[in-house]
Amino acid sequence: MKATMPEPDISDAELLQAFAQGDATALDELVDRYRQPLFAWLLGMTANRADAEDLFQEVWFRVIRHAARFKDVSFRAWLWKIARNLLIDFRRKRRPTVSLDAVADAEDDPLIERLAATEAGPTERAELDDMARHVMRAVMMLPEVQREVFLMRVQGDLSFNEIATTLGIPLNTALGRMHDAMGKLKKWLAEEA
Amino acid sequence: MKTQTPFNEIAAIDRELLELAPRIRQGFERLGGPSARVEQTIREEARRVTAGLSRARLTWPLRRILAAAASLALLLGGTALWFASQRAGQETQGLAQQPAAAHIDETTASFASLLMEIQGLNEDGFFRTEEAESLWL
Repeated sequence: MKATMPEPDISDAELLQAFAQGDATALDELVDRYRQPLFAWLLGMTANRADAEDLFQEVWFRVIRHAARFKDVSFRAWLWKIARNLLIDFRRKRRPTVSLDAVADAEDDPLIERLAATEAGPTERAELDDMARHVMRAVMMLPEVQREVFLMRVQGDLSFNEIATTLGIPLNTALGRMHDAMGKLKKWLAEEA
Repeated sequence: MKTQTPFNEIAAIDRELLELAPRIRQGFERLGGPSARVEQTIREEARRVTAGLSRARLTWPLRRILAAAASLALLLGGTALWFASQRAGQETQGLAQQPAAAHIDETTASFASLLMEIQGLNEDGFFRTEEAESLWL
């Protein structure tokens, strides 16, 4: 599945190297490439626009600070690894006593309500049509472990091997989570259609 | 969470995603991206860091020259110190090798001889051979 991002002329790693050598516009290009997928992933994981924005900024600050030390095979996998680590830190600070899985596993999780309440202003909220609402509601109802795999694949376009490496789980586990997530989403979206 | 439905066919998953993924992406796109303020902050940070890199590069040759000069000075100083300490060591060793007692004895004997000479009791001048005695008289 390579529908999201066409192969660019200059690879991500080349752009990062150019930035590490002093070309600031190379980073602009990288931010442009990953603006939507990374932000969507963060939004899907936090269900809060302000938190997603804070994390988005912090992810890129980390990229900027550690660009010269990048040695991974895939920039994309590295980027999501940074994002996920920051998300974990962020949640530890915010809700130190609540299990993330426990929160995400509850199907009546108020994530979608929180998202609806925090997405920009009332005008933009009104513009969020039914389709987007249905999709967001369905995705937010996924258990977190499934949601992160699903969004890494759909939004980040990470390969399953990259997802497994980023999350530190076996490939089969990543595939299993993806399969479960897709089964639930198809069912929920069909019901709401 | 324990996975209940193991599924290993990546190609099959991707086929299913072809139908589902566009709807998901569209839904998230409607929510928009990060604010312009956040993007601007990132760009400014990138420029601040690259400006720092440029400054570091400009000052690099000067720093390198200073470091080389300091290294050379240290090397020369160290070498000079080493030679000086070697020479001092040799001198000390030379003095130590001369027997101090003999030195003192020699000095004392000369001094005693001088005193005897002054008093006219120098043994060397007291005993004379017969030939010398006839001449002396």
